[in-house]
Amino acid sequence: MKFSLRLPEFLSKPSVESQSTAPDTPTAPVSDSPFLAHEMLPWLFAVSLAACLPHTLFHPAWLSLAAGSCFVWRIWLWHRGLSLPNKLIKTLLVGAGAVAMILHYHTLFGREAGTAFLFLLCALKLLELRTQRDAYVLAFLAIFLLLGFFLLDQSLFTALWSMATLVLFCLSLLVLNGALALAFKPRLGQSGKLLLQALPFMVLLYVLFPRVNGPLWKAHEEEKQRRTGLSEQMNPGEISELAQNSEIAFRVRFLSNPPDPAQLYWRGPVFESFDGKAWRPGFPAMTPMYLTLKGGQTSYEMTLEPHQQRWLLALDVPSKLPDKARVGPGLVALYDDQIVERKIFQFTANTSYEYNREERDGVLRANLMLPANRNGRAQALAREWVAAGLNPPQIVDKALSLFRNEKFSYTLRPPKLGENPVDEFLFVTRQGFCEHYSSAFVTLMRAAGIPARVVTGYQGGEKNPLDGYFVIRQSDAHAWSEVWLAERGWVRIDPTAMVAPSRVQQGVSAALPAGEPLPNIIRADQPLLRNLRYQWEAINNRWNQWVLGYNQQQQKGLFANLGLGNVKWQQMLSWLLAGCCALILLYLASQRQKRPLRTPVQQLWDKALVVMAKQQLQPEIGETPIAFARRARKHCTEPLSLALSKVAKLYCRIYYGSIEQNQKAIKSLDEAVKALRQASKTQTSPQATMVLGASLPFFSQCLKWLDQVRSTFRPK
Amino acid sequence: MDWQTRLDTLLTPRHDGVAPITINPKRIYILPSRPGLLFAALVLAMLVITINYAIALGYALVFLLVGLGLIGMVHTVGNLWGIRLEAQAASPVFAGESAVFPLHLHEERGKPRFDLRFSLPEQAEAAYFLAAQGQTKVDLALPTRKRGSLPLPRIRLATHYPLGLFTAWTLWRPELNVLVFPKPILKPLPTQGRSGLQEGGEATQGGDDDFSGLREKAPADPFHHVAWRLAARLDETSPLLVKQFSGGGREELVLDWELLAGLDTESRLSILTGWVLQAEAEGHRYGLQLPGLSLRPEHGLKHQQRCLASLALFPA
Repeated sequence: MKFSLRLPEFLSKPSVESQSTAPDTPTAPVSDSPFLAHEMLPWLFAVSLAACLPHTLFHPAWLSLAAGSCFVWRIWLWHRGLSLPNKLIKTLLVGAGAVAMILHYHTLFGREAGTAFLFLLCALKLLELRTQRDAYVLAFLAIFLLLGFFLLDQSLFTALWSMATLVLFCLSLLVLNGALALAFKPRLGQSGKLLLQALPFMVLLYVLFPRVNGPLWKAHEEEKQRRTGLSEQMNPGEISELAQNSEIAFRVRFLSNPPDPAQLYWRGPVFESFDGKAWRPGFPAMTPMYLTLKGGQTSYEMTLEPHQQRWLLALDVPSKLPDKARVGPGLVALYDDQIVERKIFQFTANTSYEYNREERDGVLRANLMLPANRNGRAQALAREWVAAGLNPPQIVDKALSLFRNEKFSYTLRPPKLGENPVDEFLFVTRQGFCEHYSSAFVTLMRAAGIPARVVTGYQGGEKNPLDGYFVIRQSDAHAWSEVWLAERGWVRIDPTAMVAPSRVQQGVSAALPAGEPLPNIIRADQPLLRNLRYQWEAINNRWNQWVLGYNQQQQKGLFANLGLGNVKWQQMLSWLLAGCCALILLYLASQRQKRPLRTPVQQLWDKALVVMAKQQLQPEIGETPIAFARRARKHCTEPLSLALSKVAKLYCRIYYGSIEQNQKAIKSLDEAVKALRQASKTQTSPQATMVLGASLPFFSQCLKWLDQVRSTFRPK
Repeated sequence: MDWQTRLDTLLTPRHDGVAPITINPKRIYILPSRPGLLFAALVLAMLVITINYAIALGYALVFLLVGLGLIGMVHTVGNLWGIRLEAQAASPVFAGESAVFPLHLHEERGKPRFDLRFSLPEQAEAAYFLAAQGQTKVDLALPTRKRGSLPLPRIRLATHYPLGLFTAWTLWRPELNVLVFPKPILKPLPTQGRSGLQEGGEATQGGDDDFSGLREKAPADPFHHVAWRLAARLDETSPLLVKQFSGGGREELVLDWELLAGLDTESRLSILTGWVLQAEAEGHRYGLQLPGLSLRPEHGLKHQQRCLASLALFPA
């Protein structure tokens, strides 16, 4: 007895003849298993690699090496289709990693150790990348790692890199969710589209999210972290070391005419106490300040890079200070808190002034003190001048002429000095950087009974012709002197100017002889490099001002300038929510697509018609495509009419049936339409040619325009 | 029952009719998926770190991720919006087999649809891709256990596309039933109630006991009667031949409920089902005698189907 249990096919109810799928719509059932498909993995490798790569710049080499071998191992396993390491090996690896981290950093938390640990975790997670859930965890870890990257660096390049990483992130999530059905290009397009559509949300949130002033919890390690910049005391050789650093200390934009370069003395810490070698600040006694402003008034805006100190490096002499700033002893502008993030200040300065004609005796006495047992020869020389009956201004001139006339030279690599550095410098080596000159000068003055002190700070600055910003680098660090003369008060004397006059006028790179270890970037003799640098810095400056500089203060300023007054954070949050909801509704509305009236084939024909419409040719009512193409032959050039007749023939054959209407046919029609467009372009090319030469003026015009917009953000 | 099934039970529409539907936001539900919740926690942690360390780029990143999440939500809804679903009745099956409901998907808005996960309650999901302006057929397999008329339960169509951070789903319960015949039990055909109808040489046709010759295959011939070995030797153009058997013969018999007295209802129905199939396969004319129902002896697929349907719908 044989019969099949399954009902024969023809037994089934007569059904609507199933409309079989069109040949051009592949319907691949996507794999449903929670395990990752083989072709999904490269995307996850890519996103984690993109997130990990920048971290190799910041973490110890062994860590990068370990992470790198995880990558290589996992990719090899994937390539060979081998199984992943078992639980024991993974546990051992994580344990070993954690122990190594603790041995190296002594902790697993905090800025540096935390990011390093995350970096390691991300690499190790690859080794258990098996299921969908692992894939999500890995992708999210990679994004977290991006934030770790920002903790260490926030330049424009970083932003671009993370944008690329985000594209990969979107791609890998898309791939996890069925986009494998798409070819690479449209998939990439989807990813870019998602990110672009997310941008309005980002802008809205960035502007409206209430900013908090100060950290939520204190991270103690930050204070310990030393940044480059002037320090709280001046040891020999310190400033010449700093001068080899091309990092930017601050940027200045003068709101009126900039003063003469020789007037650009940016005052940092003032040193009054000398032990024969190192200079230290004096007693922090609050002295009365008598300032007579004479002229040369200028106002400017300073963008100060964080230097973990309180001084503001104001231009001598500050006549109007920003909020939370005051003038401390020695005319140094001080901020209430340490500068731990980039900040923008507005100052007014007077370059011509008279300062403390009346000075307290205590201060004057302190500025005469010298260690008796050091630098004896210098002191003796100064006493000789006094014995010769010279008055203080004459003694100042005498000392300066000593530097001018004797064979002193200006160098970044002065010889090492011993126990009596001033003596050795003045009488033996005679090679030094500004710190040597100011130190020796002040020693001579004090020995001659003239109150004198060392002032450190920055001198000069380089104007970027593209955006008008002055850039002051660490290499502009300088030390000069101040002497107190009766009837004149404290007078600035720059002994370095006697030796290297161009230092003050044109900057350090002009003053130093060739072969000095100056960073390439600030050398005067490389115009191409310099131009590139101008561009790069102008962009970077905008980046700093616009994006990184947006804080509570700027946020308040923006709302005030928009005429909204003092906006409370509750208000901002409600606007934010309303804005987000509006955006979501907008996007949702755009999802509601009407059924297109034209099929893809018809749409391509429409495109061809658009091309022809530009040539003033349109089909008449009732004119068939072929007839239209024939008529066009009389009105346009040969290549165009040939291309059109090809499109028309192909369209008719596909649309009216002699060719199957599938993906391949559509593609060939698409190519024909493209060829048509190309043919039409060659017909009307001359006006389309672009001149690229005008790009630089255009660029600076853009920057100016941006600045105008930005002025709305500036708090009044 | 997990929370998802419970929620679906609450949300399932009562009367959906049989007409095709176009999915619109009124019937799309959306909730964050498990990776979505993890993502939200991640973004929150990143925001706290960003505020604490005042990382300007961190703000940008966090807000971009928030935007990505929200836009992902919109696209998840958009991935279902506008798909037209058309369900088709399933062919009858025997209890224990899976009924297959063909479901036709139509994309008419010019947008490819990804990760379309179809499932019936307590059944595994299968994911499909639907090209822009394309169509595809999804076979929803519904396992059956009992005979009778089985309604198609609610269909769940879910998607995680594009980022997997949200699950959007829609529920549809087209009013379709599948007829489930009793599971056949094979027993020899009853001898009682047989009335020999041997009619000369004709009787030798259509049996399947002893080989008696070859003839050209007709569309209705079972495949296991094809002379495959011979077909392999002949060239492609020649017609398939079927083996013919003699023995057996066209008889008229009545498959009576009462013949199976003493057994329980379901077993009786199963045996009757088996008889109907055998009688039809052997080419007999057969009638069916059930309490309150009697079908006159006949032959043919239509008759067979009528008999099977009566057995399927026999009141328990």
